[in-house]
Amino acid sequence: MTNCSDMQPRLAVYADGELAAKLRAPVEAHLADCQKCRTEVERWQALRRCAQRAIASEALPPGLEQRLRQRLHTQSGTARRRLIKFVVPGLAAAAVIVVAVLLYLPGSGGGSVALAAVDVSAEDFARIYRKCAVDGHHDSHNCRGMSAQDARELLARELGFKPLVADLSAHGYVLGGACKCFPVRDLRVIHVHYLSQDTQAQVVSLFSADRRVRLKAASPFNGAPDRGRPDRSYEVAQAGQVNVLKWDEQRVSFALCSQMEQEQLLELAGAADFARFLRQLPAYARGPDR
Amino acid sequence: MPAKAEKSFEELAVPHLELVYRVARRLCRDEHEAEDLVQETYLKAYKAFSRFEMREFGIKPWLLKILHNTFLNRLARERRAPRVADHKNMEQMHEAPGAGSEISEPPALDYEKLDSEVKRAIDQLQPEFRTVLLLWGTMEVSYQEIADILGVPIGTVMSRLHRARQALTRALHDYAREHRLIPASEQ
Repeated sequence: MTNCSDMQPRLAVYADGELAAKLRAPVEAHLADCQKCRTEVERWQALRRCAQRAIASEALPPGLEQRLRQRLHTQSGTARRRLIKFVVPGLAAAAVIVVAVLLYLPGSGGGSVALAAVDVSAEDFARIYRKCAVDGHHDSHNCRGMSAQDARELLARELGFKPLVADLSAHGYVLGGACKCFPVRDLRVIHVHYLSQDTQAQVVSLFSADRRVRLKAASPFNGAPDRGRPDRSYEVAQAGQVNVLKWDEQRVSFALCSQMEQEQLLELAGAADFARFLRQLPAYARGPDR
Repeated sequence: MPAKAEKSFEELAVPHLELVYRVARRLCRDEHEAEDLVQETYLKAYKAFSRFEMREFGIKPWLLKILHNTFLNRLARERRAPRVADHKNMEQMHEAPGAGSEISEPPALDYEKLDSEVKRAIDQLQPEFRTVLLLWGTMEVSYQEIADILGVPIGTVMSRLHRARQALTRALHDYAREHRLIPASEQ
């Protein structure tokens, strides 16, 4: 009988059905007489089944396939747009403008119809705030420390549209990072967080949603008259120590999230470059349904 | 190739979304990151589709290869440093204290009862080993396909897989011992 130690290196490969044909026969001959090695083969097979079950237990997030198909269609439209521009330069300019407005319109989902509003609780926002901003400093786009302008351009290149990256440096905040972690399913957001320049202890999150958000259990809030903006209707809600301030702009919503006082959040929300951003991006400022 | 000429990217690639997501999910260890990774993978694949040739294995290994490369790019970006795969060092680094180059006997354990711990154990593996183990664990790709996906020799796949399996075994064994799921005589 062949020695077990000679068989050892081949047993796991045999268990996977990957052993070369010429090596299989001696292994099988050994297994026929060796309970210990048979057990080991069974163990490796059980381990693989266990891994398979664990991997297969991850259900596809609801709506992912739909979102992916939508993005592929958008991409397909972009490719066609490029082709038109290349082949018919004279017509391209007008075509590109029209297609770009339709495709890059946050809140449009690639068309001119606004996406359905979703309900989000303060705790949903607070969870991402705690996880990505306070604890993790999540920065999947390497924006940390960048100026708002640079971060906006970087994100525009990576995302295909210009997200809102407010410049809060005048208020003593530096950019801590940006990610796309969303508070609830079926809501796409850009989440940018800021750290206070002095101690970096104070953290603020800004969420730019791709559609209207209905903030659960929210109250209207416009704060002191000199701080609020008459053209906006703010709402606030709380999750523990975390305050969430939300407002709508045409077909999309923004939310600021922090442990600071609501009045302070309101002051940040009134930062000048929000308005400048909205002017720069017609898609946000005036949708086609206006 | 005829199959490609007759079918669109969506028709060929979207049916593998579940597999791609599952691998991505455990690679990233975070569902949001996983979804981002999957979408980026598919968009890259879509853009490169005109250069794709079906060959003998079909589109699945190609998608997994793009997933793997995209994941590595993200990892490198997160680490803010160029990433060179030094297989030897990685494998030495990953080697458990006291583990020699010889093959140690896997501990006796009923793995079937430890499903819930497997994910945790997989998550603890270094990315290079995690990737191999995940691809192997899907039971949908062969060693050779894994080698093609990762762009490494099949011997490297087998070596990494061996170490990943050993690490997984050890992790589960520790869990079983802690929970007294195996007899004291075998601990």
